[in-house]
Amino acid sequence: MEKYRKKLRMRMLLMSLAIILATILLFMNSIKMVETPEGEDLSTGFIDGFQSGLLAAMVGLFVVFIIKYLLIYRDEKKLKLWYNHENDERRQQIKLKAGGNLVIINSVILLFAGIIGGYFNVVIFYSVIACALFQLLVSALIKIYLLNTH
Amino acid sequence: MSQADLAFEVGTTRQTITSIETEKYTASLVLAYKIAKFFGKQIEEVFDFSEVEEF
Repeated sequence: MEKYRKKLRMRMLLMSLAIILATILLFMNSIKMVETPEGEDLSTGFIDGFQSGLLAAMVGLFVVFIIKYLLIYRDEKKLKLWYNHENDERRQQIKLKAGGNLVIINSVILLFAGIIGGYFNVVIFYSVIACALFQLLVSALIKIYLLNTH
Repeated sequence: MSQADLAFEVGTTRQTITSIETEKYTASLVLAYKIAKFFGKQIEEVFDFSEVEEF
């Protein structure tokens, strides 16, 4: 269990670093240090808002996760329950069938690619973001289906 | 003993124990061994794999 504790500590550390990075980016975005494409039409505003929203959501999500992990970390019984939950063979099998970590990694890459693409062309931004969201949606639906039938 | 207690002891979740009981999920050899060991029995005394479809 000590090994798992170490793993949780590492996760919290990485999330803290991500929060700091995202907050800096959010700040830079808010004071317009990072500029979106020229022209102040609706789509550029949308891209700008999307980036800020994504970063803010990331910060919020990671804060919730850190609080959750801290609560688990301090309680031996909760730690064992969470360990069982994460290493449960049925859940792992379902996760694999629904695409596993690959879908999440692909989607994150697509999201970042979409944001970068958004600086050059709005169509690229919409297409890539739609692909990422569709991929995540399909994976989530498969996972929900399998959780109820397996 | 509740499903949650058994799950806690053998290192799995309550949902998995429910799925095994309702025959929605077939336990792996390792999990089957842990459950059997927990009850102090042989695997074949606890599980009947004779009607499980081959993969």
